[in-house]
Amino acid sequence: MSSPRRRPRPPTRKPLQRESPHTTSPRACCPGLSFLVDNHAVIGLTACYHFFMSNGEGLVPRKPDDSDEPELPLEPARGAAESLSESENTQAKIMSAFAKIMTDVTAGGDIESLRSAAIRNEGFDDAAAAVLDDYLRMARPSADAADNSEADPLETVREIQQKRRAARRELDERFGNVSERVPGTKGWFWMDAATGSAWVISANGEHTEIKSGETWNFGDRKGPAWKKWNEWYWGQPSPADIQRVKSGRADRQRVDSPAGDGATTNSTDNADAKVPKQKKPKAPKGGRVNTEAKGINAKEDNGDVVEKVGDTYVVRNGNQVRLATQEEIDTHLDDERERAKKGAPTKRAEREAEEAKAKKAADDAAAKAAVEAAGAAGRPLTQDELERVRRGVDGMTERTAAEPRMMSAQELARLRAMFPAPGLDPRKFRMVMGNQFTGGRPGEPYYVHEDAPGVHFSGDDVQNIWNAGGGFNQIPLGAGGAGAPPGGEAVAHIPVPISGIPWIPGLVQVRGGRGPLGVTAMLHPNAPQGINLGPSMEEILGDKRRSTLFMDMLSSQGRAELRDRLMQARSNPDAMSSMDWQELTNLRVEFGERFALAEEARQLVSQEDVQMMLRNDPAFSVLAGSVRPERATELIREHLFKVFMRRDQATLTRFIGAQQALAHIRSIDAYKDMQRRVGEVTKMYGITPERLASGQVDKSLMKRMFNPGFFGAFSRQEMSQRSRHLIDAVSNNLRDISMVLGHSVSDDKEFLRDVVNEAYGVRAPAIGGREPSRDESLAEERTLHEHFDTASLENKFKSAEWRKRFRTADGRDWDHTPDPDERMERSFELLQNERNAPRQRQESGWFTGWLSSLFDRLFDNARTELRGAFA
Amino acid sequence: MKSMNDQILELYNTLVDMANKGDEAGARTYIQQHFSELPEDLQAELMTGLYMKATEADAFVEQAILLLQRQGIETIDALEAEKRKIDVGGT
Repeated sequence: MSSPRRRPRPPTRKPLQRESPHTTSPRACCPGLSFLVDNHAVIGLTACYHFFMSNGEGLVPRKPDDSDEPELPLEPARGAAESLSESENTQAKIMSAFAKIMTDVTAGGDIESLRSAAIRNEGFDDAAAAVLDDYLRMARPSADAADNSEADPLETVREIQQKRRAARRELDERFGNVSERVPGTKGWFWMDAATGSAWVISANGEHTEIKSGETWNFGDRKGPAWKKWNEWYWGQPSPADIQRVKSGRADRQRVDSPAGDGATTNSTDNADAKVPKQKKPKAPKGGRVNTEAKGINAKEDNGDVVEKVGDTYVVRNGNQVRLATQEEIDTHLDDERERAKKGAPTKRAEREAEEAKAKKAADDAAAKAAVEAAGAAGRPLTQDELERVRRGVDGMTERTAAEPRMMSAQELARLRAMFPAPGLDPRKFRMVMGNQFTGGRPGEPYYVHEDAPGVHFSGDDVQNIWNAGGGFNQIPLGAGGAGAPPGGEAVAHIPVPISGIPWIPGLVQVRGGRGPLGVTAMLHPNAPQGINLGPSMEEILGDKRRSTLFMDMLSSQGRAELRDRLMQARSNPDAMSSMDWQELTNLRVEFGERFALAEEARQLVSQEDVQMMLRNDPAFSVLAGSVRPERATELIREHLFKVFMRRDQATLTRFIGAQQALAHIRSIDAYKDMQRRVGEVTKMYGITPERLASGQVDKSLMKRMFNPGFFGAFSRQEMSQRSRHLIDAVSNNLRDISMVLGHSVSDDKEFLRDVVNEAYGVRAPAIGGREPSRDESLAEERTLHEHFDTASLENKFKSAEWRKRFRTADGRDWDHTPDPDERMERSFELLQNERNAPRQRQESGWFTGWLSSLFDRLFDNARTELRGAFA
Repeated sequence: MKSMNDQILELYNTLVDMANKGDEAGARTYIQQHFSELPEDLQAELMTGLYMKATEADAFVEQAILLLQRQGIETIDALEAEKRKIDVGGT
C-alpha cells in the first residue's frame, strides 16, 4: 500500500449513445435486450451468441487507447456460424429470432404470428420455443410500457454517472479520500482498514464490499481481469476461485455484477462514460432460472428431464417444456458430476443415443418403404423417395466407414434404388486412374458409370455387371470417401457430399484429392473422366490403324509371342489357343481404354497451346525455329495414339487431367472475369504489365499469395493496426499486390513458373524421404550423367543399396511392396525425381526437360527387360 | 537402319556427354541443327513427350496463378474498404 495515492482522473470522454431506430423500443423496461433488438439488422448469429454470453455486453473489449465508442460484435465474414457448437448455435438462433420478433412487433406486427413464424422458420423444438417464449414474456411488458414512456438513454447514462460520483464521494469520505489502482487493471479500490475489505464501484454506480478471499473481475467477459482480495493486496485467483464465481457458488452479488461490471468498477477513466450494462436475467451455474416455478422437480424420475438449451436449463416432460428452477439445475449438475465420476454417460447422451437409434430405425424403415412402394408400382423412385433412400444409404455409409465389409442384401437393395435405372449399361463404364486429381488410390484404376455419378466401381464390379448384363451385383463396401480403401479392397463409394462451394462455377471439388493448388482437386462434372470398354477384337483387327496400335501395345507389354501368334492366326486360326483368346479379350479392354483416352487427348491439343509452348516452355522452345506450330500440332495429335499405347496409365491420366484443367479453366467465365478484374485493378494503379520487370515484383509477397490462407493471414497482420501509419501501410500494400497481379498477366511465363514452383516447393523428395549427404549428392550427379544402359539400371535396381533406400509414397519399403509392377513404377518415379531435383540439377530447365523426356522414353522401352529386376 | 529406340538412345547419350562437359549451348545448337534431320516419327515422339510435360506444368501454373489472382483481388477490395474507412474516420 505504499504506492502514491491520487484521485481518479475526471471523465474526459463523451458518454456513449446509441440511436434506436424504433420509437417504441422495449428498451425502457427491458434494457438487457434492447441492444440486441436495436441492432438486429447488423448482428449475425455468432454475435448474438456472444452477446448472450457476455451478459448483454457483447462488445469488443476496449483497450486503453480506444475511444469509448464500442464496436458492434459484427458477424465475422466467413465461417462464423461454423464456429459455434450446436447448442451455441441454438442459443444464437433464439436470440436472433427474439430480436427479429421484437423489431417487427415495434413496427406494428402481431407477436403471436411472428412467434409462430419464427418457430417454424428456425425449426425450433419445444425446448427452444420455451426459451424464446421466456424472452418474449420478459420483453413484451417492456414494449407495452415503452408505448407510454419512452426512455431516454442519455438520462440513464447520466443517472449512472451521478450514482458513481455519489458512490465515490461516499467512499472518499469514509476512507479518507484515498483510493488506489488495482494493479494490472483499470479498476480502483478503497481499503477498509477496520474490516480488511476492499470497496469498489460497480458499473451501475453501486459501491460494493469485497471481503478477503473474494474474487472480482475487473475486466469483462471477453477480456477478464480476475483479482482476488487478500486482506491487504490484490492477488491472482486460482481457476477454482474464478470458476466458483462463474458458477454462482460465490456470493450472489458477484454473479449479478460480474465480468464487465468490474472492469469499470472504480475507474473514472471510463466509469463515468460507461454505457449502462445491458443485462439479461442470468442464473447461477450458467443457466437462467425459472424463479417462479415451485418445488424440487429435478428428480428426473418423474418423467422430468433437465437439459441445457443454449445456456439455459429447461425441464422437459414429454411435450411439456419449462424453464428449470435453480434447485433443479443444482440437482441436475450434481447428478451429472456423479455420473462423470463413475464414467457413466450423461442422461442427455443416453437420450441422444436413444434418439439416434430411433432415427436410424425410422430412416431405414422409410428407405425400405420407398423402395418397396416403387418396386410394387413398377416405377422409378420419386424425388422424395430417392431422398429418403439417400438418407438411409448415407447413414449406412457413415456407420460402416471404418469397417470394410460386404453389403447386406438390404443395403444392396437400397444402393440399387439409389438410381432410377438400376440396370447399368456396361458400355457406359469409364475407367479412371486414381491420382491426386481424381481421388482413389494413386496409380490404381477404378470405374465410374454415367448413370451412377459419384460411385467408384472396381474392375471386379464391372466384370460382374458385364457378365450379368447390367445391374448391381454384390459389391464389397469399404470405407467411405474417395480415399484409398483399406487393403486395396474393391469398393463402391457412395456419393459423398462435397464440402465447400467451388469458386469456379462448374468445377467440382473432389474430396480427398489434392491438386496443384494445394487445395482440393477440381474436376468438371461434364468432363470425361475415363473411357469405355472400347471396340471388339473384330473391330480392332479389321482396322489397319487400330490393329497396328494394338500390336504396339502388345509389344510394349512384353507380349511379343502373343502378338506373333495373333498375326499368324490371320492365316492359321489354330495358331491361337483358347487361353490366348481369353488373354486378348482382357487386353482389348485395355486397348479400348487407351485408344479412347488418346482420342480425347488428341481433341484437346490446340494449335494455340502448342504455339504458346513453343514460345514459352523452356524445353519445347528449343525447337521454336525448327518446326512450324501447325506441323508440330499435327504430329503431336497423331503421335499421341502411339504414346498412349505405351505409357503407364497413371502418366496418361495425369496428362489428360492437366489437359482438361487447362481447357476448362480457359473456357469458363470466371477465368475471363478474373482476367478482366486484374486488368481493371492494374490499370487503376497505373501498372502496365508489359512494362513490368520481374525485379519490381515483391517475390516474397507473390509466394505468400499462393497460400489459400493468404487473405486471412494478411488481414490479421496488415490490417489489425489502428494508427495513422495504417493509411501508408495500406497504400503500400495495395501497390505491392497490384504489382503482383500485373505480373500475373504478363508474358514472363518463366518467372511465373519459377515462383509457382518455389511457392509450392516443387522439388523431388530424396529417396526414402531423407536428405542425402553431399557425397551422396555427388554420386547421384555422376549417375545422372551416365549413359542410359538397361543392364546398369537392372543392376542398380537389384542392388541391396537401392532396395534399402526404396520407399513408396506411403512409406513402405521394398519387402512390403511385393508387387513387381509397383516396385518398378516407384523405382522409376524415384529415379526421375532424383534427376529433376533442383539440388542435383546442374543444367537449365530446358536441358533437364530434354534429358528427362528422353529418359522417360528409354525407360518405357526398357520396361519389359527390367521387369525381372523387380521380382 | 537404326530403330527409333536406338536413335533416341544415341541422342540421349550425346546430350549426356554435353551435360557432363557443361556445354549447354552446344547441346542446344546440336538439337536445333539435327532435329529436322531426324525421322518424322522420332520428331513426333520427342515433341509429344515435351508437349505432355509442358501441359502438366502449364496446368499447374495456371491454376496457381488463378488462385493468386483471386486472393489478390479479394485483398485489394478489402484494403480499399479499409482505406475508405480510415479516410472517413479521419484518423
